[in-house]
Amino acid sequence: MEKTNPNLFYVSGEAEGAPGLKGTRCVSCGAAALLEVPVCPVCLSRNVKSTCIGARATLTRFSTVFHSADSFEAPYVIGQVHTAEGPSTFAPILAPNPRELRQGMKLKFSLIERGAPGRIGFAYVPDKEAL
Amino acid sequence: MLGRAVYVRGVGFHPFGKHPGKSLKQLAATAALDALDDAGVDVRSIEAAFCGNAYAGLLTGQESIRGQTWLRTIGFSRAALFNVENACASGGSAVHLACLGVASGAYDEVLVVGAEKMFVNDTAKTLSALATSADTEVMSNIGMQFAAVDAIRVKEVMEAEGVDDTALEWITSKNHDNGVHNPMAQFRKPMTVEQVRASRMIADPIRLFMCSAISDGAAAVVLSSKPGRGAVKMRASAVASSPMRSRDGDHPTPALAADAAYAQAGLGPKDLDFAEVHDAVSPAELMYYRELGFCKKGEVAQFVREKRSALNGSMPVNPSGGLSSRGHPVGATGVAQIVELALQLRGDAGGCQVKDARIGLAHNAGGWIGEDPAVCVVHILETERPH
Repeated sequence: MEKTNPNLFYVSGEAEGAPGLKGTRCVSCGAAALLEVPVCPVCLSRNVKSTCIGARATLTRFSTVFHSADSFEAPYVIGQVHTAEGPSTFAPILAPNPRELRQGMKLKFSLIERGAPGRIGFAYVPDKEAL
Repeated sequence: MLGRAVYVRGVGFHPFGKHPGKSLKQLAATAALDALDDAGVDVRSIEAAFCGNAYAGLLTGQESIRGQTWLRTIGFSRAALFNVENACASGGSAVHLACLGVASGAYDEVLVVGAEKMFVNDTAKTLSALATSADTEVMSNIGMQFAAVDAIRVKEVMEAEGVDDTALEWITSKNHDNGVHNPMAQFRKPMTVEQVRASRMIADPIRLFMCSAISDGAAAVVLSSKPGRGAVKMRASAVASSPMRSRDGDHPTPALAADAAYAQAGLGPKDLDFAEVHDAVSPAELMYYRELGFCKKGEVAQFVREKRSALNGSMPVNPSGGLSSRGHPVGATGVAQIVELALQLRGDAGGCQVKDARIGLAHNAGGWIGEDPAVCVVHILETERPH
């Protein structure tokens, strides 16, 4: 299996709570960070552990893109998402009907095939259970 | 500035645009010779050179010793030379380091050249190179492009400040109208708001004519401990990196760099006569109006409605036409902004001239990491010539 962003996300079974984004939890202050980092961004403690974040997130803002890139067929939607654990990042947003997207919408992390058979990427999709 | 006074003694450029018959070396050499001639100095008197470029490694294969390959063609030898890469802020960063070189007393006369060649007969290759100015582990392969990053940032300020698409269209039209008079600019045709509105959507709400274009071009300045034409002096040179928002709060990179520059100069935004800001998409000006302190939060709509950033407004922004009109050969942009400021302060800006300009600010931004531009460089320049 090939991942589009091997240092950015876990597939199912790779970490507790996966699939989701790779993150770091500070043992000292509890803050979360995106990616596996050696130092807590808030208290600078080095007592940190890898964790899965972003299985759930909130849509902060989004834009519909009309120029294809990275094997994404335009038009497609890119959003700024705020993970339940705190960190924000940009991510592709998939919705059956993009018109239903709105700020504050609850999202969940989803694995998708991207670019080639067996190549795994991700997107956030509306979290029907939270609607 | 701390240390000795630093002056812009000479400026030069190669016009920005599509130049298929010219190499990166030729673009850089043209700008460098132009600046040396303007300063009235010989290349042998240059004690150090600082060369800004972002993508030559990816686009031309010249990964290392970029500046050495440019300046050897104009007879530069023996002296120190530093290659500077800081994404779209490579040029501004090169100017900053050159300032430190003169202010510290290490050098009396330095040359700064920013250059980029982006037309390489493969637009996809150029767009891929641009995408590397973010954390590729996070931003690659997710369909992200800088127009979308800017679109989302612009939406934030539109919501917060209560401005609509007409503001975006007016700013774009303003900058293109200014660029008509700029000999460095890639696009020198006026543009109506209707033309802006009719251009195709790239990433909503950003339309094609709001975007700066890929470009070939170069700009150069000679910085010196001695004044040149117009006695244009560096009052501040400040650089900031993206904040760690979870620890540092919601003060974005441009504001961090601007605050440092104002403190260094002992000036505030009200002392400025004009500014050149990094409008990679022209509506980005909306963010910079408040982040650089030209107006307060909550006052952006009024600032636009009163057209304060127009060439004849109370705070002209991008009188050169900005990136959306001048073009954006990435490594050249930050140096080009210093050229534009110096020409204004000398009274040499022609049809772009801001009346009685004495103090100007340049803001150069680069890359993206976390929730902010990865780097911002702010310079403040002032003329010492008599009123």
